[in-house]
Amino acid sequence: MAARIRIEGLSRAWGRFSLQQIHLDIGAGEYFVLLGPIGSGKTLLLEMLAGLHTPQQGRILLNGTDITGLEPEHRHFGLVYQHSMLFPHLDVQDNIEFGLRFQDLPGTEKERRVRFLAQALGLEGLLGRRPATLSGGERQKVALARALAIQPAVLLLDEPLSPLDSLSKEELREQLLRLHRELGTTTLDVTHDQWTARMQADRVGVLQDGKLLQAGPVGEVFERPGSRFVAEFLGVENILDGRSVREGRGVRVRLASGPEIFIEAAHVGAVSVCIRPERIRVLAAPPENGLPEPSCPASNVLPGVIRELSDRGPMVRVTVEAGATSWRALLARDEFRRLDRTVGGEVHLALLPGEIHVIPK
Amino acid sequence: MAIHNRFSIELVTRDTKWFIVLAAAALLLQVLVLPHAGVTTHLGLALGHLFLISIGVTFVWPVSRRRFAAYLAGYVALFGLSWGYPQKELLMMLFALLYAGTFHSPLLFGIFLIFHVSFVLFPLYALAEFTLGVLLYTAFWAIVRARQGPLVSISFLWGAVLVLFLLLPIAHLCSLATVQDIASTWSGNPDVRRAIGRSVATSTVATLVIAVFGIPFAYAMARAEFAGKNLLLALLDVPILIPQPVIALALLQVLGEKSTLGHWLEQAWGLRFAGELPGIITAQVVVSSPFLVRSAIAGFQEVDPRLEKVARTLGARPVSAFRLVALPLARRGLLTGLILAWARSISEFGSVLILAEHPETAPIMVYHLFIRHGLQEQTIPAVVLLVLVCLWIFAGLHLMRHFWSGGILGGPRLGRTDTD
Repeated sequence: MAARIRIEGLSRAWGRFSLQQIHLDIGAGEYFVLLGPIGSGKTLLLEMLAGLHTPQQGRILLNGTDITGLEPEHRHFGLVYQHSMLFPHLDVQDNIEFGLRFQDLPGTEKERRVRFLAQALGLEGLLGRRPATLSGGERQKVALARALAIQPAVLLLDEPLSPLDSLSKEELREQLLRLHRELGTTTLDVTHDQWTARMQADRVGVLQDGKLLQAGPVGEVFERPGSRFVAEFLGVENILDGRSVREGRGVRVRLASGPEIFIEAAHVGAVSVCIRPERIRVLAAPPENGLPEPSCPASNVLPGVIRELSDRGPMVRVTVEAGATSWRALLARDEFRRLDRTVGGEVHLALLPGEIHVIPK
Repeated sequence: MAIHNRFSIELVTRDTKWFIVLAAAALLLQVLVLPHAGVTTHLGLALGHLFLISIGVTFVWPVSRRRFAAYLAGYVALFGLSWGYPQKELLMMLFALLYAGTFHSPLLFGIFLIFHVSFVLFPLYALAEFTLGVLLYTAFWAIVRARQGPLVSISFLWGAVLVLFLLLPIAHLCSLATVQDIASTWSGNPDVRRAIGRSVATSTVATLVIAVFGIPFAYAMARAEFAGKNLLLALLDVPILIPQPVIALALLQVLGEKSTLGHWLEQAWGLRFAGELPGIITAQVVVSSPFLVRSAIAGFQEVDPRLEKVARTLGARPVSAFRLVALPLARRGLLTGLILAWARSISEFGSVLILAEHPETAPIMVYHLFIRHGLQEQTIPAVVLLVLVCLWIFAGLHLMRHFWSGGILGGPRLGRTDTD
């Protein structure tokens, strides 16, 4: 049942904006999250996959069959918009059943599908209600049920979680993932929220200005961003320019702001150094007997002063000024308490060579 | 001030028990006082009592029982007064005003005041004055009570002058003819009956013609963007701008017997325009189309195109998406447009007079009656009959629109609800 999609060189221009040469493979049953800032063309790409726009170039293959010219009503792609787009003149049940009226199904099968989805999404009590009387979360659930009722080959999601408050967001996220596990529908979710990608995706892609910058498994894209934009967008808060020379098993990078650090990487020349804030170790005192880890050379430990603290729920974000550079580190609350330092306190930052990523410029 | 944000119906249903008891008591009292009056008199008086009692229950009952007892006493006194001095309206009205004022019911007070002004001081247009006065005053009272600010209230009062000016002549006209006059005109004057029927029929056909072409056009205009769209939209209003006789002359040039098109239409289809029903309908279509098209474009623009896109992904062909999503969601604008087009068609006079004076439509019949008899007795009932027929159909259409366009759904705007 699960379908795989292949997008080959998809391009189209709308006035000034254009989608350019999008290549993407989504495996059968995969949950693919396409990340991109607002205005990057995510929704247009989604609508193009649904058949609502015709590409000027390129092909869309579904299980190897070219569907580029197929009308949306023959694709069986379920589409859920950010603002649920329920039919306001129909009640919840009629909304969910809307797509089934175009399929030749026995009544019992229709009933079974509606019952299954209503149960899975907790909509049983709402079937007779009009969309205008539903909460935001309930509307998104109905929109999801409506898209899944046709048993789509592919489920296309346009940030269905983003307009929700955090409580209903988590509830719907869980239900969405459970349904994905149970039904195994190939899913393409576009969003600007990196957490959606981290929590839900098998693989992710990053879109900017109509161009697909990078695609791959979640861990890889988050840990090894291919460009400065991808790194910034995915929450790498420490990105520094420098120049690297080969040394031993890795490279020694002289940062533009002064310090020289050792990194386990191969690129030589002008580079950008990326360190995720949660990967920086913040120490109260310089390590006395040796280093925090055997692999960390002394040059990778930088003395600094805390300039700013910011509460991030279970985490604390610490801004440390070391030399001419501001570093941002994320500490678990416990760790921060053990550190026992506040704004103006002196600390040491340890940058582990294995946890630093280097992007060639 | 004993002003309560509760509606009488709500309270009356809640205190139904007391309401029934009071109404029964009033009726009993009345039968005791006027034992020889007929059934109809009792029924009419009973309705009056129910009105007063419902006001009492609404405004006075919830405040305190003592106040309600005072209201009841005043009510009985007024009742006695009306029985003892049936002719002395002025005295009775003054008492009524005093009575309403005592119980701080501004609504009741105002209504009595309007009654007083219209029936006692300016009795010439009494019925029209009273009806419109009560209507406008009740609205004003609701606006003031909703505390929407002095600017809104004063603007309403200022604008009410215009409304009064618009509606008073027609309301007065309607009050001139008695029901018997109208009934005898209907049964005894087949020409009037036929003219009204012809008007209703031609404007209905004209509206259908406009709908068949106008609704698809409006849909396209709402969805498409192209250079010159605004110019085209502006040109659509030309039939409203041009004097109606000019439209008739233009139509005669194109469709008259001597024109090529008119000749061909007569030869090929047997369609004649000058002095025939198709001529009337054509004139009506030309002058009424802009109303439907404008309103329908607005209706379709309210429907988010993404709703249709979703319908497409769910398996609907474009036509099905239009029929199942765009059409029902734009129905408010569409029905408004249809009603306006129908109303404009039935009231069309100038171009029809030139294009097809006969067979007579209702406006032309009124014109002929006026030419022949002036403002005489034959004219008035026919005119009132026409006004009433139009009003009834108009009201019926609006009621239908209310049902179809989601009075039941509650929300004022439907197409784009999903904004958190």
